[in-house]
Amino acid sequence: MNIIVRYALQGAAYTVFCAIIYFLSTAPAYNYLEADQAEIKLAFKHASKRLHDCTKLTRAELKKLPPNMRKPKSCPRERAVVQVIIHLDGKMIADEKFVPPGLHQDATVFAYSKLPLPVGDHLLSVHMRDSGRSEGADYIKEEHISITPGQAVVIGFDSVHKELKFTY
Amino acid sequence: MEKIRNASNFIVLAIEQWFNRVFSNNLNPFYHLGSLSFYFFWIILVSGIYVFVLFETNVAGAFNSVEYMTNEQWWLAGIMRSLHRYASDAVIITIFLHLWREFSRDRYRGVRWFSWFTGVPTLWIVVMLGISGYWLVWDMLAQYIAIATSELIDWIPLVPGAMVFNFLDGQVSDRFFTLMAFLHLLGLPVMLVFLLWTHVSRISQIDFYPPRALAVGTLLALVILSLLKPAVSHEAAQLTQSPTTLHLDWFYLNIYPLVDILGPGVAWSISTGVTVLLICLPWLPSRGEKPRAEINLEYCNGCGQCAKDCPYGAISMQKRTDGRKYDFEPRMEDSLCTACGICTGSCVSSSPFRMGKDVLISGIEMPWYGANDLREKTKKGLAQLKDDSKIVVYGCENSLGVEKLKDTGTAAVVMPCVGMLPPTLLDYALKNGADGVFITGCRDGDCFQRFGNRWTKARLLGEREPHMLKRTPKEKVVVFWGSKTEFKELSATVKEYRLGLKEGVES
Repeated sequence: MNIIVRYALQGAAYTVFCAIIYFLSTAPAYNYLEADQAEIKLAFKHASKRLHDCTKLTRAELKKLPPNMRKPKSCPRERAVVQVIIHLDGKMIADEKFVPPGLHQDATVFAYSKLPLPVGDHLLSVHMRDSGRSEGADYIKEEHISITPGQAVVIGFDSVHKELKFTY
Repeated sequence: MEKIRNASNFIVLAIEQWFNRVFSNNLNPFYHLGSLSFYFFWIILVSGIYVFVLFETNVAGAFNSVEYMTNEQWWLAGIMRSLHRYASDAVIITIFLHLWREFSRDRYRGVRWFSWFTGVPTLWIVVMLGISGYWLVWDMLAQYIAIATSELIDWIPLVPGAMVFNFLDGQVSDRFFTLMAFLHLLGLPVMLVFLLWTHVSRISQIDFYPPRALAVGTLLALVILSLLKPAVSHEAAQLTQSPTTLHLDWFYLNIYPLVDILGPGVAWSISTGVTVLLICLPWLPSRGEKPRAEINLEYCNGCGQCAKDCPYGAISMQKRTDGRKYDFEPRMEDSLCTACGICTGSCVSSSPFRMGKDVLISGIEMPWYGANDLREKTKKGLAQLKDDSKIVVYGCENSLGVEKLKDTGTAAVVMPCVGMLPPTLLDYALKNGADGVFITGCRDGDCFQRFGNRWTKARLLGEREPHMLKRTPKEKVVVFWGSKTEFKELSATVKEYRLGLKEGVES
């Protein structure tokens, strides 16, 4: 093969190599959110209420227990499932349930979920249950929000003031 | 699996053939994928050190320092940053081609399982290095990676699900960011060096550097790419915003869209599934290995040539134990031996002219195929030839099927690797009726057993022990290096050679 042709083909091989590198290092573009979308992030840590109250043990019940485990009260550790229902402009867009982790379902819930949100003005309403109830809500937060493209609205829980909060 | 491997090998060979024509055998990038990967690591290291000098390892300063490099000091820091990125991308290409090629050539099973096995976690570390590198820029892409990585880690049941909360409201802590910087700058590179060392620990005489022309060409190409299309950042990270359009580096960040679309569980399943499959590949199915080479101390003078020639470091020299006058004797590490027979070719005692016992025993040889078998096959092959001009073709079993060349004037002797051929066997063949000898093996630079063709060439040229007898006419020895796809060329060359011999005989 002619040396000039060989060098030209070598140049072409290097060019193809670099073209592949350049192309795949930036393209094809990936749309995480569409241009007219924002995002809701439901994210909080919360220890829900215990499902059962402590009960005083009777003498007969205490007697059944080994001596080193005899306590006057029995306190079941299981906590309630945390349920979060999100409404946008009156329409339900999410109903998430978070089971407390741990062998006894007694640990803190780490709630995390993402939802796309159309840009514009909305009424965002969040209902949260953490006591095992099946009706109503333990916490409610409702707010008119104005959302721009790519905005992240974080629905959190203020464990000090015991209330839901929106950050955006 | 064999069908897949053969089909795959056919494609690789066809590509390599084109590269051989354009780059020559010595500079064929496909023959230097391992050393090219090492070379890219060097570029990454050098460019990374320069970038680190100007980089601020805190959340507030990271993005601006990278922007300074890209826009203000583009003529050096900008180029270094781009080189750092593009060499990192290039290494993924060479690693995957290396993986594909070794699979296609069936060089990942049997004794060679170890390099394959240790190569898979190395790939994980390389990808983690790339991901952590993108994280440090702290732009919108970095923020996306940070959150998606946290989602992946939080999904693991044993890990308390809290990492993602670092990136949701307010500012990311400097401590967390410093941890990432530590991982990228020290933790992961140290692990990578250790794994690379392990990866190559069972082979000898490793080519850490590609040929100079290939190294210069590759660096030049990456520098030109860095000048024409410098690496740039996305907008600065902003935790109250989510990214919309992202220009992902698909070499490293391909897992993240999977996390978004299918969830962390599926992403983990796919990546661990592929990893487990790759790790188990050497045993799907495993290769039944032939018995390893054995040392016959009685015939060994302790010269050490076999230890020098072994491509896998399976032979080492130790103090003589049999009380003979020689200082050293070889010691075999069975788990490293691929039974290629190169040691037999390098042993002076494999000479077919040796007198004494009827059976020729070499100082080192495989119990199933030794120096005596080579001599006997040569003798028997020559005895069967009827033509006026007779030739013996010696070839390896991994490249061209020399058995198909057998006819009334051509005898063929096949061996595990052409490096097994003792040069004096050629003298023997020529002395015992052959008008010429023909040697063929894997393409130059692409020996199945790493160095078989290289050592054979050096032995024939008298540059490496052992060599042919001085009085033997060297023009009667012809070599042809080629791959399975080049049988037609081999056949034509042998025919031409025989025609020349015939004319010589007739005149």
